Amino acid sequence: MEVASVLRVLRNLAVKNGEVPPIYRELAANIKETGYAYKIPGIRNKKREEMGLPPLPKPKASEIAKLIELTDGSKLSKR
Amino acid sequence: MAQLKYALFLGCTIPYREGSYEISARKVFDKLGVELAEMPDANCCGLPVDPANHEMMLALSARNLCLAEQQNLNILTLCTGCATTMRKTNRTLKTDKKRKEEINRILSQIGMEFKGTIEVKHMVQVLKEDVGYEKIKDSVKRPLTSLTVAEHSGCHLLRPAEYSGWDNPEDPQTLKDLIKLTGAKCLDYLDETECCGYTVVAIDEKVALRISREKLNHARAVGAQALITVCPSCHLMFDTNQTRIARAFNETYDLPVLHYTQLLGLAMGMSPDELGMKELRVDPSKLLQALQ
Repeated sequence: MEVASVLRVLRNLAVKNGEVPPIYRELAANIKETGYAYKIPGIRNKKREEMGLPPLPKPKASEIAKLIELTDGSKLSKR
Repeated sequence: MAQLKYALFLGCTIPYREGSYEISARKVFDKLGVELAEMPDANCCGLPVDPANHEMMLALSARNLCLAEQQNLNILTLCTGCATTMRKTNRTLKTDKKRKEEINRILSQIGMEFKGTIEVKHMVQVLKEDVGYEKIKDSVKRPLTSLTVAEHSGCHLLRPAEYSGWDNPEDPQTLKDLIKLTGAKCLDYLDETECCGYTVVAIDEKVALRISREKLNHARAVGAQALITVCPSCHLMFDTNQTRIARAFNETYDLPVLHYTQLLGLAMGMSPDELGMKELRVDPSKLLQALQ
């Protein structure tokens, strides 16, 4: 068993007990809303187009929300 | 050799703040004859929420694996965090029948099923194992022999060791070998394998900047003209945050931080503009002049 995994289990338990650093709520909420951990400005796709890059992936929000709900993450993903 | 083709997984940090990594990687892989297919429906790899909810990470990560399985392609990532997360999920679900059933029960609700038919590789592993050093060496048209750099492989490229196995996480050599192929000299420095600080930046910024500062100081102390990274988060700490570190500790830094794909692109004869080098926060002009 890796030390990192033990720490992760302890952190997960702390979150279940309501001890959540605000950053994790924000990251989970962003993922639920956009599929990304960060809110990527809309202008970024325009810039990508100018640079000849393909559009950014656009994950199906309904599927991401479902996964979050089924993994008991609804509370975590509330801002 | 059949043409190499992968599903390119961008993750979150690269589209958010590290565009030059993607630009240079696409150019370099194209030159090496490696085809990168888009993943238009991909989501976050799940790493950011793993400390809070492991199950959520597994489900998010597995969704990406399913998408690549549908494309019948192995995944190539540019981010080491995405690589280690999806590599670990892939292995877990391939070897732990109970876990696979649990996750597949969840995935079935969105019409997906994890089958375990693909692999996940970071671009460094692809360059080493699939492209091969000979082909990279052959692609170098302008050896960067006047350049002396230091490398930062970062935490996630090779850790946990159980899930990589293609280099030694305590003394990684692959990135050094890849740098040498460009003609540049790669220096050893103190605490090379230490973290860049990114992992704690959202919890305690001062600690994160202090960790980055130490690494910058160690690279500078041996005379590196640039620091080479293979992870968008590490790059963000050393490049984007370099002026903040200087301000916080009342010091002066002027150490360009290049993505490895930019270094290789320069050696292939590409121009700095082609490789998105204008996007770098620490001005690489002096470095580029030295190359001429």
